[in-house]
Amino acid sequence: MQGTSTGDASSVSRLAISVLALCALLPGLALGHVESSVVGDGGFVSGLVHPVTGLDHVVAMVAVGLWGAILGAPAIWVLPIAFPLIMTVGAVLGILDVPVPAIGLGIAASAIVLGGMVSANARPPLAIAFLSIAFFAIYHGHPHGAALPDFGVPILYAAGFVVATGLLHVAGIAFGLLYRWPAGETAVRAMGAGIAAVGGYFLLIAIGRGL
Amino acid sequence: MATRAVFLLVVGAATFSPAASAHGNADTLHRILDGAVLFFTAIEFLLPVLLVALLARYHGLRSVIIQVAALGVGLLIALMGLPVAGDPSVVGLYARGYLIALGLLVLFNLRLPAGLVPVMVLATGTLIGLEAGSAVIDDPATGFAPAVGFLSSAICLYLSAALIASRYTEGWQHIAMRVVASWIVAIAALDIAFMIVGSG
Repeated sequence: MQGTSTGDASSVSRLAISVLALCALLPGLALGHVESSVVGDGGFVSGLVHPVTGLDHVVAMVAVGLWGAILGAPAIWVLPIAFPLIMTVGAVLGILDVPVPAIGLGIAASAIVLGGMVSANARPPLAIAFLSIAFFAIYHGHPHGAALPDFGVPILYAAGFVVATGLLHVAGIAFGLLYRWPAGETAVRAMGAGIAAVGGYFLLIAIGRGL
Repeated sequence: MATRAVFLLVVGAATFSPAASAHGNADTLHRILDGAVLFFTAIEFLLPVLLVALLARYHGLRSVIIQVAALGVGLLIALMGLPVAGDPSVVGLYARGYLIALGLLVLFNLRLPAGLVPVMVLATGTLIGLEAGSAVIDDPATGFAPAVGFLSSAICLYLSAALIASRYTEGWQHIAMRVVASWIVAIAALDIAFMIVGSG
């Protein structure tokens, strides 16, 4: 009886795995029906994926949202507006091959500083917070601009890139709103510490590579 | 009144559906549909119309009729053969620069004088029409049917966006519009850089 039950469970598991494997094939079929420049190959999805493929970038962008949420209005929306805009300036510099020194160091430092600000519950004046994220946004934009793929539709790629960056900030803000509750404050500050730690790891890597 | 106008436009747009075209002159209707679809599948046309509708949100629904007329006139002037001075590809650069200007106006929450808004809408229509140009009317022999579809789509989007933007007046809703405007500015700036690198 028990053996039969185990056998049924095993069958169900195999069936579930088979269905999942089949589902995994479906996106490929779907792509066949959509213009490739929209989905990939330098289209919207390529741009959407680009900012989330590097952990160092992701944590810094989430940290901007967290910090904005802690600082409250107007920083909660000024910082997420400023970061993508100034990051675009950095990306344009990268596209135009204008060199920016010590990129790896700057990106790692951004995670350390922004994560540290969140963890320490730092509340500087808005202008200081703005200048901090503006400085680091250049470093985050430049490598994205310098490492662009061959394009299908450039404006779609740009749209995906900007939307992904903005949504990472929104994710940070959403998590940062937990700050209103004591347990949430602990969680948000712990996340800030985690982001700073990730930044430290990437700083060691950057130093190892000679910045 | 604006709601009725949107309703009539939607009903009009519904007549362009493939099912409806089976009962009429299929070629003409398909060309109209092609023009309508072209507008909605290219964000370089969607974004300026969206932004200029957001920019006009402070001026009430009555002025929307004048703005729609300005958009239509601007598009028609450009689509019906306004000559482009110099390299046609330069139009894209101007269009993106104008998109940045529109985005910054929305981002900084500037209220333009009521008389200036139709001028901005007219300029938007003209630039979109110039950029769309040959994509809408690739062969003069096919007539201007695609231009009719393109124009209808642009007016539908403008009316819808203006209506929605004028109804949502809470502070956070305006902030959301300003955030969207900042993202559009970033997209346009990146696209300009791509154009410069591509042409260089």
